[in-house]
Parts: sequence; C-alpha cells; structure tokens
Amino acid sequence: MDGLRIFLWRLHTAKKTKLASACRGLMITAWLVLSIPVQPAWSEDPTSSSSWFVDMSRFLKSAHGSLTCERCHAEMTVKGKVHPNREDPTAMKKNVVRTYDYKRCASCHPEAYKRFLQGEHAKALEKEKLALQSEGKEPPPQKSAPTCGDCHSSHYVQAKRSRVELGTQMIETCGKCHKAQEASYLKDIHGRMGVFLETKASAYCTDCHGAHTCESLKDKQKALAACLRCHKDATIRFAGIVIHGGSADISKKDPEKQASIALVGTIKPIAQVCTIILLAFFALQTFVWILRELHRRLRGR
Amino acid sequence: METNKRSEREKRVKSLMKPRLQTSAAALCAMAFCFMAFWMVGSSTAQEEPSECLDCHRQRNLNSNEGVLSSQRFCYNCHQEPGSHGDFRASKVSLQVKPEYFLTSPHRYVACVQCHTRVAQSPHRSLSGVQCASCHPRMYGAPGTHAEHQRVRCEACHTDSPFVTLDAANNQVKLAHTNDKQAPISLAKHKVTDVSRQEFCSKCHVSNNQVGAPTTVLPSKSFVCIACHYSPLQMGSPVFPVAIIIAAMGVVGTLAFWFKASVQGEVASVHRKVQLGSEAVWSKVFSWEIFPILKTFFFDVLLQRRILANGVSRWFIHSLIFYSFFARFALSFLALFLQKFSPESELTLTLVSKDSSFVATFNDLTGGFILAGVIWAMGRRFITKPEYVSTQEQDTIALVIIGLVTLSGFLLEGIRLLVGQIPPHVALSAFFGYAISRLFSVVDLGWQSMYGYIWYVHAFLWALFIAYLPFGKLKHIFTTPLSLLLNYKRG
Amino acid sequence: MRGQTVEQPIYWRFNVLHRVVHLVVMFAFIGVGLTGFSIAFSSWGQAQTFVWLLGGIDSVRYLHRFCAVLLYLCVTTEILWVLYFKLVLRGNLLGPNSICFSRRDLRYFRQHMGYILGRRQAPPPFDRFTWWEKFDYWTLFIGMQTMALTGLFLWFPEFFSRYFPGVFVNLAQVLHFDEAVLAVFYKFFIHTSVRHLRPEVYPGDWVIFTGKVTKETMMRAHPGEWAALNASQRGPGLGDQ
Repeated sequence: MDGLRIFLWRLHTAKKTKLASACRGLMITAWLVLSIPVQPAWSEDPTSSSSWFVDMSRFLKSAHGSLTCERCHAEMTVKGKVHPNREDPTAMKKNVVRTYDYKRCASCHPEAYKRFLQGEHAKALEKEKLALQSEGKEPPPQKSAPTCGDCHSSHYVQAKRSRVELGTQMIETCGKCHKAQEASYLKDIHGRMGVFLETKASAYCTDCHGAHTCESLKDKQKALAACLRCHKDATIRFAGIVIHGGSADISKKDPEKQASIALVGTIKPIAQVCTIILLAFFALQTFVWILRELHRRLRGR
Repeated sequence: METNKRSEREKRVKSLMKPRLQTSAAALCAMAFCFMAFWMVGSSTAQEEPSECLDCHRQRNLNSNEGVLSSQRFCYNCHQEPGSHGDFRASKVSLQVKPEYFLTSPHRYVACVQCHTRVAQSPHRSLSGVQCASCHPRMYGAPGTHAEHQRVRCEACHTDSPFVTLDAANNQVKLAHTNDKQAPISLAKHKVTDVSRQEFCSKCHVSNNQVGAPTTVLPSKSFVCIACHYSPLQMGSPVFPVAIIIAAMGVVGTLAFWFKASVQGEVASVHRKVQLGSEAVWSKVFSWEIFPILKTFFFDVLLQRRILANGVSRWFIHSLIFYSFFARFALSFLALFLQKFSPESELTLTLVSKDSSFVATFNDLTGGFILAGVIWAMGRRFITKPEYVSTQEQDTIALVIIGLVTLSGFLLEGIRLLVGQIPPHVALSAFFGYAISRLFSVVDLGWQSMYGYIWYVHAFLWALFIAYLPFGKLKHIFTTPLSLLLNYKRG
Repeated sequence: MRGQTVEQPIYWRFNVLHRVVHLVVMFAFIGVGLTGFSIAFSSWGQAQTFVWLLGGIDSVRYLHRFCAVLLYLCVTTEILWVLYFKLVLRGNLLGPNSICFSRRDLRYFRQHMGYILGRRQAPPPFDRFTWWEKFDYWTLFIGMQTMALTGLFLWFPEFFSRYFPGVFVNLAQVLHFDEAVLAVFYKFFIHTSVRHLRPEVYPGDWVIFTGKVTKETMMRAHPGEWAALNASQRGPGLGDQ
C-alpha cells in the first residue's frame, strides 16, 4: 500500500513529465481512494536568499557555486567587524535584501545592471530612498521596490534554464508583488498558452515589459512596439486590447483602459446571467418533462 | 576552536625561530606577547577562509538529531538569554526559551526552524507562525475534537498557557503573548499540554469568553450523526446509546413478529423458519434472478419508480427529503473514510470542516431541500388536501421529527456563526445559517450559553429519530425496499 | 423531402442533404467544443493531457479552426438550401410546415408547459416541427453567426483591430466563451435528453439519421401535421429544413 502511495505521489509531483500528465485523470480517482501526502516533512522557501542558512549541496550546484563567500560578502572581512552585532538593536530587523549593496552584481553582470538602472524598478527604488532620507518613512515590505535579490536567488540561482522554465518561474517571481497582473495574465491567452500549455512561442513578462527595464506599457506606442515583435500586422488600435483585464489592476492613470474594462465588466455578467438562466430553465423543464412522461408510462396511460 | 588551534600552531613555528640565547623570563614575556599577537592576527587572517562563514551559516541536515541540536544551538545563541524579546503591540514580549526545559520536551529533537518556519532570515520575524501540520496531520488523532476546532491553531490548546485570543482578521484562535490585562507573559518553557486532563478545554469554554466558544464543553458527535454530518466512530452523548438500544429492541420485536408467521409452510419451529428463509435468500442471490432483483433495486429503491407512478409532485417531495439525506450521508461517509485513510490531505480538511465553503453550501442546500420537502408535504396534508393524499398520524410524527431536526440544525448553525464571530465572507457560504445569525444578532438572549441547550435539543431529536425508526412510519426506510425486493416479480 | 403515398406507413422528414449536414455539424460541434474548452480550461490537468494527446497546442488550434470552418460551411449550405427552396422549388417559408416560429407556437408552448406540470392530460397537437425543434434549430443558426463573428475577431485580431477598438477583441473573448458554454451545455445535455432520453422516444430517435418516421410516430408526435395530411389527402408538403 505504501509503495503504491509513494508511486502515486511521485506521479503527482512530477507535473512536468508528459506521462504523469497523461495519468492525471486516473490520479483523480486514486486521490479519492488513497492517501497522498500533501507536504514533505519539512520544507523551506527554496529560493530565499535571506535565510541565515546556506544549503551547500544546492549552492555548489547553482550558477554561483564557484564563487567564494567573500566574493559577494566582502564587508564581513573588514577589520573590527562584529557579527552578529547584539549591541545594534536594528541589526536583527534589517532586511538584507534592501540593505545589501547590489552594485557588486554589476562586476559580473554589467549589462543587466545597466538596464536595471534604466528601468522602472530602479526609479521606484530611488524614490523610496529619497523618501526614506527626507521623511524617514519605510514602505511596507510588500509594496517596496525590488532590488536584485528580491527577484533573483543569489545562492541557488540555476544556470541554463529553458525558455518555458524561465518563463513560468518568471510569472511566479513577478507575481509575488504584481498579483493581480499575474492572475489576469494567466487568464489571458498568452498566459494559458505559455504557462499551462508550455508553448515557448507565447509571450512571458519580460517579452513585453523588457528584460530588467520592466517598463510600464501605458504608452500605446510602447505597447505597440511590444506587440509588433510577434504580431507583424498590428496597428495602434491592436495595442488597445486589454491583456491584464482583472478588475483589481485597473490603472487609475489610464482612462481608456478603465473604460474598456468597465465595458467588458458590464457585458460579461449580463452574458453570464443570461446563460445561466437559459440553461437552468431548460434543464429544469426537461427534467420535469421526463418525470411527467415516466409517470404517465408507469400509470399505463 | 579552529582559530585557536591554528594560532597555536603558528605560534609554535614562530617560537622555533626565536634566538635560543635569551633568558627564560624574556622568552616567556615574548612568548606571551607573540601568543596574543598571533592570536589576533591569526583570527583576522582566518576570516579569509570561506569555511569561517559556514561554521554557523551552513544549513544542517535536520533529519539527524545532531543536526537538529546544532541548529537549536544557533538559535539559543540569542534566545536563551533572559533579555531576548520581541516587540508585540508596543510592549516587550519575552522570547526567551530555556534549554533545560526544552530538553525534557517531546520536541527535543525538533529544530526551532522546523516549527517556526521562515523565521531564520533577515529581517528576523515570523511570517508563518508555528507549523505543526507538517509532522502532525490534524485529523489523525482525536478527529471528533479536531474537526470542530478547525479555526483554532494547534498551539492554542496544546501549549501549557492559559491565555488565548481570537484574531478576527484571520478568523483564527491563537495562543496569546499577553495575559487578560494585556501584560506580556513568558512562554519560555515551551511546554506541551497534557491533553488527558479535560480542564484545558475550560480556557475557552467558559461564560463570557472572548474567543467565540460556547459556554459548555459539548460531547463529541456520535457515529449515528453520520446520516447528515461528518462524525467520528464514537458513541458520543449517552442519549445515543439509549436510542440505539431502544431501536435495537424495536428491530428484534419486529423480526420476532415477522417470524411468527409461517415460512414456506413451516409454522412451529423458529429455527426451521430462519433456515428456510435464509436458504431462499441464498438461492436467489446466487442465481440469475439476482439481475432482475438488482434492476428492481435500482429503479424502485434508488430512483423511486413506485412513487413516481403515484404522482410527480409526490416524487418531488419524497426526493427532496430522500436524496438530500442520501447525499449528506454519502458526503459524510466519504469524509469519515478520508479521515481514516488520508488524514493529512487537503480534501479531508475541507470535508470535515463545517465552515469550508463547499461543505457549508452543500449542507445548507440539502438542509433547505429537506425542510422544503417537509413543508410541501405538510402543506398537502393540512392546507391543499388533494383527495388522493391520506393523512395518518404516523406520517405526521415522522414529518415533524425530520422537520424539527432540520430546523434545530439551522438554528444551531445560525447561533454558531453569530457566537463564533465568523466573518461574513466565510459565513456567507452557509446562506440560511448566515441569515439566521443576522436575525439573532438583533436580540441577545445569551446565545453563547443557549448554544449548548439547542445542541442537546438537536441531538435529542436525532436520538428520537433513531429510537423511533423501527416503530413508526420511518420503518419504511428499511421495510419498503425489502418488500419491493421480495415481491419484485409481482411488480 | 419527396413525399411517399399516404398508404405506405413511412413519412419522410429529412432529405439526404439535411441528414449529411446534421452529421457533419454533430462531429464538428463535438470537435470544436472539446478543443475550445481544452484551451479555455488549460489550467486543468485534464485539458493539458488532452492537448498533449492531440499533439500540442498548435494542432489543437488548427483543429478548432478547422471544425469551426466546417460548421460555418454547414450554415452556408443551409442558407443556400433555403434560397433554392424558395426560388427554385417555389416552397412556402411561412406555412404550418415551416421551421419558422409562428403565433401558434406560443400557444403550443403554453399548453405544453401545462402538460408537463400536470394541468393537461395530453400534449398539444404539434405541427411538422414542435416548438423545441424550432428552438434547437434557431439557437444553433443564430448562435453560429455570433460564434463565427467573435471567433473571427479572435482569429484575426490584427485585421479587425484596424477597424474596431482593441477592446472589441476582449469582448469577443468573453462572448465567445459564454456562448460556447451555453451552446455546448444546451446541445450536449438538453438537446440529447429531449431527443433521446425522454421515455416517449427512449432509447433514441433516429429520424435525423434515417430521415423517415412511421405512422405511429407521426400520429403521436406530430398530430397536427397528421391531421392536415389526412384532411387534404395529399402528400406531405415541402417543409423547410
């Protein structure tokens, strides 16, 4: 019994293989009958770089596995450095991802760092720093602008990932902050094709929003330029198609998009209600009809 | 330790290079100086070795007890100090844990980070609270108790501390870090409650508690409740065994009455009658006749063809009650099955919880169907009175019992939603119950203590149902299918 | 639709063209529904499996469009038939034998509802086509137009967004999906139940595949037409569809 359970569990977790995918219809039946462990005994956030513990077996396999600790954490070797500093009350509360000096990444990744500096995230980060200096206010952790470490795992980053793998992980990474956008993307045809049906011809986040520049596409011309990469005959109106159509991510600054979403938002419930009413009426009518004829037949009429 | 050894070694090398002609005193002084100097130099150069960082920051293998103890040591570096504290609602809460107590805990070979997950990181704060479920499946032990306390976090009951609090935002009852007067308390012992003592229930189940618990500690559901609710395999409140004994007596009486009649010509010997009867059943089950019998079972029992022949509206009334009970029984039985064989799965937790949106909606819908069926039947009996409906007293008793059980169930649900302060987005799944809870919130009749009484009324009514089964109209649940199957050919 | 003589107990309801069109529509509809829903519900494992079985998303999209074009070709055939029927055969499009709705259908619908709820003893004397047959026909006919229009918007968004605002593509997505749910549920469950699972016709009504009905069926299901036939003592008139 246990052997079968473990086999089923393996099948379930191995989502990426096609064989497992083909077996999933059977799995649902099996799920009801057999116990399948939901979690392993202990799991840690697999990408968190801010954990105090480094899993050496995974680190050595990562893209950064050949680097020494000091290559990135040079400040620890400064003379007179006390670590951990118990006298400093803020030491424990420090968010390393925010305080770490990510300029050091540029020594190996200069191009990416340059593009990051041109992008929206860097601008937001700059704004945040100014606000912190002038008002001493720190943004809530979920709303703060990302540094390198917020998106990239420095200890466990993998090398040579495929386009689909990179894309699906990218959706999760960006989705940590841009939840509504992630949800609406996954409902859109690009998301359904790219993530669920694993088509590499689909567009992932950075394909439209730019690698490391992460620009907003509110400007229709910019959006059109993104569309034109794949849709060769697109015109300026084509860029008016709403991709991120959830109600939570209506941009206040974009009245056109707001109007579009409002229009869809009015017609959609009407269509749904009509569908449900029609189907419910005919289902009930058919059901009673069948009962009536059965009754007559049983009565021998 | 590493640093120490290395500097000693270096000191020895250096001291060999010293001139041997110096006096012993000068040599001693010099040696002492060198020792200190190279200690310091050695320690600063040693930091260039990468292993230095990993002395502390290597992730331990938490599958080994040694790794667990080493990981605990990392946390104890700060948390065994009496000064270790956290800021909780502008007051300092002690976060000291005493190793001497913890080493006597059943959790002594469990690392801090295995329960307090995602806390060993910067910034240093707990994001997820204590995670018990990764080792202890919730529905594995004491399923009757655990099913009723789904929104109570494990540590609220299982930690030996008398203070709990209701977190309205998450709809969770949690262990409190402060006492009644909002003064911080220490949890340094990390002691696990002895659940064999019943007193620990009373930290919530007292009058005027703030966590939304009913005043009385109610018994567990009985296994006979499985007709409508998930229930563990327990006897529960004493009214149920009493009801079962009465019902069993009724069954025996009925069977005795049946076997007074002659069986295949045999009049006198009961033993012979049973023998002949069972022989007849056996020969039917293992013959081709089983197929027409199964067909009869499917059409006449499951699909209720006979009742449809009587009338479409009668079929509707009976189906509203029969299929609702049937569906509720099927779902509760599935929940019991899953709880036995898959206590840790999400599906189990969903099906045993009354507040999960699926179960709440399902129960309210089926309960509503039963009530609608009872009201429709009553209306036909007492208001519209079509000539083909003959009213017997027995029918009315059965209908009244079923109606009252359902009604008291809805009242209970309404009071539970009101007393428990279940937030509307959760409570709305139980739409009838939520409406009742809004209605009851207008007047406060001491619902917190009332809940216990109405619970017993509901339980008593169901016990009455069970006890009444072999005597009145409700007998038809078993006798009608039986007679249909026995007389299948004549039909 | 060529009528036989009244003495023979067989009556023709559908000619070969209509039987072929129904067969093609049936299979194309199943194809279009399966492929369409496997794209719409691609977050489900079953849909992913199905897409994999069909050889990936590209072939699924191709199949969906192929079936859709086939469906619309059937609709075109139907329109051409109506023109042929009206202009060449000089048929009557509005008589009691027509598939078009008339005021009488409203009365029959009311009476039929009364029969279902037990207020009447017998169903009304339906003509050549009952109200639900007409409903089936027209929902599909009209539904096909909207499905085709919204489908074209989704197929060629670049072309259509030249003349319409981009939001129309979003609207097309919403309406295409809702209409699909309506059509698939109606045709797969209600249409099949009414035509095959009703005790009166159970286990199946093969008239759409054979094209002919017996005298008993005629008297039971289409008493109005039967009476008209007997009254006029002529072969059955030319009906639409």
